[in-house]
Amino acid sequence: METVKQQNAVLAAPRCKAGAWRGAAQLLRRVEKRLLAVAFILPALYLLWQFSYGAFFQTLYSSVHLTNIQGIAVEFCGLDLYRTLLAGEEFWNSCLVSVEFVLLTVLPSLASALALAALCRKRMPGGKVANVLFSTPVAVSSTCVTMVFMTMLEPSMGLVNQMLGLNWKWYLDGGLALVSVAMVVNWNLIAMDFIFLSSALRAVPASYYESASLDGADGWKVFWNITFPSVSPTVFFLTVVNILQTFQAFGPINIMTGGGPSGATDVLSYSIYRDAFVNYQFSPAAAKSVLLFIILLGVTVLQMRGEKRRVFYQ
Amino acid sequence: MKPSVAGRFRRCGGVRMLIVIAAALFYLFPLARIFSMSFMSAPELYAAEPSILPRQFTVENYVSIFEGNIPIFTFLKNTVVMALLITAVQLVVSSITAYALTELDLPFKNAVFVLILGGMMIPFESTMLSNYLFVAGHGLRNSYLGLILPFLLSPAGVFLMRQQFRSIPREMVEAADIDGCGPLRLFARIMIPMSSNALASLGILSMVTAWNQYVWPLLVTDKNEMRTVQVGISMLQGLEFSDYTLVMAGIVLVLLPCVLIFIVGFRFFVAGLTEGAVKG
Repeated sequence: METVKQQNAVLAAPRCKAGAWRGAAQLLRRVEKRLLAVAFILPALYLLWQFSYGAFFQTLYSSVHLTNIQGIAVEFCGLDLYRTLLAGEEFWNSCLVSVEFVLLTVLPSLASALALAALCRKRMPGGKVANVLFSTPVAVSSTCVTMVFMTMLEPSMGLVNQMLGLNWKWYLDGGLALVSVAMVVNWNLIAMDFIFLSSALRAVPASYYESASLDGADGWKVFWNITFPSVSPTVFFLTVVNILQTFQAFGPINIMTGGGPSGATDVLSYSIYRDAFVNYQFSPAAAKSVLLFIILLGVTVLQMRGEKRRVFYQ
Repeated sequence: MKPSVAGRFRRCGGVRMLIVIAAALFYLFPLARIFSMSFMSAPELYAAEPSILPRQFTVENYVSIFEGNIPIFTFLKNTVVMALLITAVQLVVSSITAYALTELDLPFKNAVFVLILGGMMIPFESTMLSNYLFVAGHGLRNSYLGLILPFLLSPAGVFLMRQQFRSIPREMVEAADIDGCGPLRLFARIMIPMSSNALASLGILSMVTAWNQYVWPLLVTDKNEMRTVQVGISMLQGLEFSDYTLVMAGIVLVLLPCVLIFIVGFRFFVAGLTEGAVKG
């Protein structure tokens, strides 16, 4: 229809006052652009409200109300739930476990990924294959990885204990459970970190390395003086992303340990799930998830401030 | 002549290659282990002498799956439908939203864009409860709609497509405008065809992510007919199936489609991941 009008406008132009027609056509075009804009943005705005912002406000609302078993708010209770949470041991245990968990994942995964990326930096036969291989675990679901790790770490007939002659209980042991889960999470994180780090390394000008080798710098010197400084912004960015991902790692814990033994792997995201969907206590879970939001927001804000400073340095 | 051979070996990165191979063997061992276990018989797994490779290669586990001993094909069908739906809708929504944010006459463009990106700040856990109550309240548990609803808008996808549309040369858009090409035709005939790389990146990214989804399908499905692979396969653990070799064969079938898509679209995946995140 719109094209017909256009053609009409073009055909009519010589006969009538050309300016008026062109003006009308332009107005039409403007109206059309405005209408289309509204039509095109509405789905996104609806989804954004319904499943992000609105849902979050709903969670806030639930966290200051007592709810029945269907999750419907029945009675206003102010900040009582938050007070109970902050006074109880369980919440602080979850926070502590989450922090330990972050320490067990972020540093090992970044260090391994950086080592792999530095190894694959130079051109070599099979280099492309290696690049794809080290990235593939990013596409492997943590569910499947968890299950393989469980068979390998199985205390009585698992491969790891058998090969190393150990009798550790791994995910059944209070001290090792978090380490076992962290191994699974690391396995996925390393591949993601590798993808970012190796593409950051590819952006480093080859001339840096050439002049370093002319100066006779050895491998370690090259790594600490060229490789590491040039990817340090990426390392910083990945640290934050890894923290966020670790805080939200749920699958491995649900499958491997169920938060146990006796709360040893009861990270925040798992305890939210348990409150809401195992114990059907929606309000305390809502309060916890608001606190989780605040923690993660804090981490993100730190990242943004760090980024600003980085831009300032450069 | 020995030193020269060693020297040549070193020069073409032989040592480095050996280290890379060793690292790959170690790092990818769990993946190899899945495959190797899936070709073992159950008694071999429980034997006193541990074996890394199957001593007696058998496809019995796969035969058993095809005979329907675990409902993996139902899970696979559900996952394919779910992942395709999420991907298709994300591609459409990201493109039209990005188009409204760049070419069209939308008031408060920047504010809307910031609002959309801000959605990424809210962790899934903080909306999960309300979204669950919404889906359950509308009777959408155990339905495809219920499975896909919270993932239809991808802020990273909008970001990616907006970057892409902005990178299309202005002269192109202006020339189309002068030729009397309306906004809808500009979108369908110029913007979209010129964005095939970005669309491929976004598509592969959402496909892989959707395929590996675990928490949400766990919450909104409780019938075997609607389970997705990730939830279904994890349910086999600890049930009457103590037959790990069978489960591993199932895992191979769960992994393969996703890993193949990943390898085929590797270039696009990397581009989408790094661009969507670093500059965001």
